[in-house]
Amino acid sequence: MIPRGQYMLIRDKGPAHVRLGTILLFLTPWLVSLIVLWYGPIFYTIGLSFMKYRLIGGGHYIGLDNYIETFTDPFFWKGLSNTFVFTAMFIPANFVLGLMTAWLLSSDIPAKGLFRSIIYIPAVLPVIAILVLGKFLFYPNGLVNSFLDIFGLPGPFWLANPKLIKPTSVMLMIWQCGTAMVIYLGALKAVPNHYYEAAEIDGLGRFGQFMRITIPLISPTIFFRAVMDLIFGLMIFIPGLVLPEGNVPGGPGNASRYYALHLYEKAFQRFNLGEASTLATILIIISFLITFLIMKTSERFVHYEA
Amino acid sequence: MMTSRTRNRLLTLIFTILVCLVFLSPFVYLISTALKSVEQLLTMPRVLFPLPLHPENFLRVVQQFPILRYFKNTFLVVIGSVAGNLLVSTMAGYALSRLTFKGREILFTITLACMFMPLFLIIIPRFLIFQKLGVIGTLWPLILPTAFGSPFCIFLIRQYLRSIPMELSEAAKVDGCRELAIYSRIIMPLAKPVMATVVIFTTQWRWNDFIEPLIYLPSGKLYTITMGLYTVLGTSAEEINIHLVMAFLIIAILPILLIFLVAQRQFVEGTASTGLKG
Repeated sequence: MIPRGQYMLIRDKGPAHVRLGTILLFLTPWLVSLIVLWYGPIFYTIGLSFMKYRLIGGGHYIGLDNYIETFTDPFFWKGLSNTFVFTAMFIPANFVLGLMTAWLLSSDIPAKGLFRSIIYIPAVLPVIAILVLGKFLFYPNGLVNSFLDIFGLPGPFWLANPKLIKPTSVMLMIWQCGTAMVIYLGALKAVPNHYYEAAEIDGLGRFGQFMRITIPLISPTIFFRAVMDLIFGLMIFIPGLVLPEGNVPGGPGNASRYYALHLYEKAFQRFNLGEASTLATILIIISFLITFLIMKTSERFVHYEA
Repeated sequence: MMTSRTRNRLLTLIFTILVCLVFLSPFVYLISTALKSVEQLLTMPRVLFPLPLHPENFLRVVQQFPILRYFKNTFLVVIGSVAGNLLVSTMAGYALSRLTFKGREILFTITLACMFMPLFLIIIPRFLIFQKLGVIGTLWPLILPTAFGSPFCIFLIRQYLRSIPMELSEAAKVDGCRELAIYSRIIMPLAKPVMATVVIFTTQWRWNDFIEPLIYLPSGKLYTITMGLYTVLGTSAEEINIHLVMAFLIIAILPILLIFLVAQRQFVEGTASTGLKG
């Protein structure tokens, strides 16, 4: 018989009782937060996407009008393709640089702690600081072009050329690869040493060991990072605001008008919250679809057994 | 004669140093530029050590921009967020690891899922909620979401508290201790390391945050340090004022750099722990 308002604890050591009141005492603030600040807003966003909603004056139901408006808006498609192109470059670049630096720091060299700090520092700084500094590095007569000049190479207009603005953004964003590096470093350390010893006896070279042992064994971490970087990439926003020459958001030639920048402008500069919510809802669906796709295909290449 | 192993080590070392130089060079440029005068800025080829140095640039930045106000606003946001987050996240983490109840694992999964929830999917309703509460135009919208707990911190705390033996709580219960007393007098003192990590991460997020201040803060009076930096970038007649922008940037990131140097271990271990769940 369980008294009212109490929950049975079923544990190996026999039953113990925790009162519902005690549980609520500890969990209420977080439960409120979960409902009001996290999950409620998701449904609220979806609801708003079917409404004409202005910041002043409230809103009313308009069915699919926002969706029709959105799908016929060229900026929606431009933003979507810009975001996809950025993400498609960012994920592999961050993977290669993050894993490469982790690999270097897991090898047998002196002063590893110092090197690790140097590579990790940019990752603890604000993105806006990285971008403001980066903007001056990539100026027509900035540090990057001065460096190219040493080799007699002509320095391009990184921030004014629609073809170069996204690769420039990627280069700056992977300067923060320290987060990925630290996570890969942990994964590399977890690979048992005897695997490598066995492979060495079998005559597998260092590169062979890396491809045949390291990569499969850390594949769950690679997968996890890919999902995190995907979410980061789909939400890319600040480079489009800060980097373009002349501080024109989304420039040059709309080449850095990312999806999230479009959403931000719709919501908080034109205060068209209905259409902005439509953009957010479409993004929820896209994120789910891609994550689902990765999950499905990952079964083939991710090894969860180590 | 070098063995191939030694040669490999040497090559790895040289390559690592080269990578680190690439990572460091922007910082060298940053410091060097912040110490130049306008004439020195325009000197080509670039001078690494601009003599004489102009440290008065930093003074000019403090005089020319309301940097102290930006700092004050940022401090308020950080302190409010950290205090609330410490309380709410440790309590939730405690319940999710040391109280057994129906639906605990589901609640934990729901909590974890928030870590994957991008801001732009929830920011519009949050804005409307804060508007209803009448707090747009104050710093509260920047404080409340973190002060009401963070999924990542709850995750960190839960993992940590699980490693503390349950026998400790049971013994206290036999002695007549109530759950709240067990939490505050026995478990929390043992959880100081993870609480330090939570403080450091929360400080870093709130200090570095740019998107939320951009959305919530209507006027310069409330700007945090990252908004200040953005404003300085926008108002500078770009090339001419680089040295001042760079000096501003150094002042803006200095506190975070100092925290990093002191608490590097917490940063690295906290970040690494997110990968373990892969």
